[in-house]
Amino acid sequence: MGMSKGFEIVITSDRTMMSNHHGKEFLGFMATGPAIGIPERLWMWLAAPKLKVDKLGRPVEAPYGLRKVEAVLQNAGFNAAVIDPDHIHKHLDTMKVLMVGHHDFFAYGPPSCEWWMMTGKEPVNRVSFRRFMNSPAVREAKRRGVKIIMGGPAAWQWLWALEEWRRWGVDCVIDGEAELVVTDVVEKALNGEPLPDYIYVGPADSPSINEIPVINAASVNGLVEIMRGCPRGCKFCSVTLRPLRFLPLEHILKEIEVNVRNGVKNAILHSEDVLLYNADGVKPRPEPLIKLHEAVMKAMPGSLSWAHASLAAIKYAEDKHRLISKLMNEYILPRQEFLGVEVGIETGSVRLAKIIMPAKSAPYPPEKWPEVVEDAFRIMHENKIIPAATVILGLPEEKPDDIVATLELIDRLKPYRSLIVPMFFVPMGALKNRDWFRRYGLKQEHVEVLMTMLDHSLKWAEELMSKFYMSETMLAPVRMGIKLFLAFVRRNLYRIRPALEAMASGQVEEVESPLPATASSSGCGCRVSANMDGRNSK
Amino acid sequence: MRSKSGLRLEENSKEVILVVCGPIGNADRLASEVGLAVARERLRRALIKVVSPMGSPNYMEVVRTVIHNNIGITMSVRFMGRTTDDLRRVVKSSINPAAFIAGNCPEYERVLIESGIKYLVVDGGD
Repeated sequence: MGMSKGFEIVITSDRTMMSNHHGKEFLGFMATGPAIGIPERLWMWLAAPKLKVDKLGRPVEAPYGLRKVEAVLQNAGFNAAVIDPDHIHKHLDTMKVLMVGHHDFFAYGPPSCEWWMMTGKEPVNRVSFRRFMNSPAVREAKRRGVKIIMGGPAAWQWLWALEEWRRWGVDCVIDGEAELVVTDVVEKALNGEPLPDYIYVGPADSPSINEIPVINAASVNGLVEIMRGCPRGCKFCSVTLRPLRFLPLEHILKEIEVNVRNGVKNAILHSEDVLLYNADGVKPRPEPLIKLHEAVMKAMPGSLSWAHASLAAIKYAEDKHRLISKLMNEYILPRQEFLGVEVGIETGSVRLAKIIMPAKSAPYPPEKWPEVVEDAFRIMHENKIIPAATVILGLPEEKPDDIVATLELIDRLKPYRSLIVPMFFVPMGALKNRDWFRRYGLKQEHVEVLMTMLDHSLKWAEELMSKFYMSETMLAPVRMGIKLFLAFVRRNLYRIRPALEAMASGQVEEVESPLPATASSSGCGCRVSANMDGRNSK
Repeated sequence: MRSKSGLRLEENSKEVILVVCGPIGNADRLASEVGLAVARERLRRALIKVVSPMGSPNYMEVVRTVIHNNIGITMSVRFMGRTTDDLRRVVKSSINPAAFIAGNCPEYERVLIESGIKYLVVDGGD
């Protein structure tokens, strides 16, 4: 492997990605916003502290997607490794290929662009990525002829960043599941052969289960994939376009073992819908889920999180099999106080749900969607599952009545412990040729929804900080920093509504547009991406 | 240990020659025509060879619509050069390609006519 000489292929990302966020995945969301109320250095320390590295600059933990690419290349015999962005200079003499993955290179995705739109300030992930690409080490690598390959769930953003593409000399962009592509591309790069500018990997070239390798070193916060793809077919989502595959339990346990062996004691089960692991269509089955949780809790000594779960699956699993209470009471809560998960509400409008996500409520009919959401929130509250829920504003065909229905639903969710965050519509999945939601599309009804969500999330965030989250003594300074931030937002609440209302009535000057003219003639536009390297799947 | 194959995903691909003369107002149609050309042959991969006086990566201003509107096809997009000579080379090295011209550039069109390649012009005017 030429360990002492350095690596030929360096896989990396900027600091906002290459961090374990103090072991608290939710804190990673701060890395998608601008520094608010505190200096940027302090914000970055709260959101994305540096990781421990060995003398070659290899981090103890790294984003899961980068670990997959590393495993594919190492298993194929390449001299490749994930290197911390502050240490790539150590490999300048040997590096021939620099591979950079990201979940949001330019802050065009949510929630970065919501932060950007609301505050008018560039999110730190964008600032940090630009700083990395302009760093002396990257510039020197390029000067020496190193090939630069970009990838990850935000690969599409390069299509709208041509100036940066040219300026930084990007040689190739890989968009999609990379397992079957990456060795060929790297080999061409090492042989000095011309690379394609852009590769989009379609569903037919997605790897089969046997072609997905086990990671060779630890992933951030112990994230391990349990399945890929999703059967629900929501029109705004790209994951649903990929074939559905379940990773075998042995594969999952091997990855947890790699994490534990490397000092990462916790696990995050990653899937677009954890409860659909080996399910009967969209109906969760008790047996595989119990087996999974039993084995995972035995395999690691720390705590467990779920990356995503659908609200319909939560309701069905509990109503039909009492499965949520069983999993929580028998396997999870004996070891931890709560379980975190991301869920999607997206809309409270039955009309809109029927158009854009007719199977999101399945096995219940779309007419029952608001009821499914409310029931699932109640079930989660009763079982100490704390969801971070998303609501999409500006969906195609959205009408004021739809926004009001969403507002009414969020109002009914008030009693349930949760964070609810807005996302502006971005063209993905079957809707990917539609237009971005823009700042000038903000309506008065949106302002009401945004304020209701902010109020809800602030109330519960304060409660979570005092009772559940970051109770560890060593995290006291971080807890204090977050509390200061929440207090700052609380103090400034009275200024937010008028600012949003001015935006809705078109009375504010435009902020710098996150997207170039053709994609965003004015205002903010963002796009959701979920795949193996996202914040939602880091 | 290392694989000695080329880009696997460029094998069994429909070859598409795409001349991008400049920004066009009808990129959606271009996207749909390219998609159709691949689908007609029941292939799921496209190797898109771009010749454009706009240079790389500026030609992406047009081609990104083709990529963005696509869901099911694996695409490898390669920039092959700026000039009519580059286009001649691309034509020679391509097997049964579909060809498209985005915008208006008669000199490139002449190369395709001389080579006997059938092509479709998509520009902002149609």
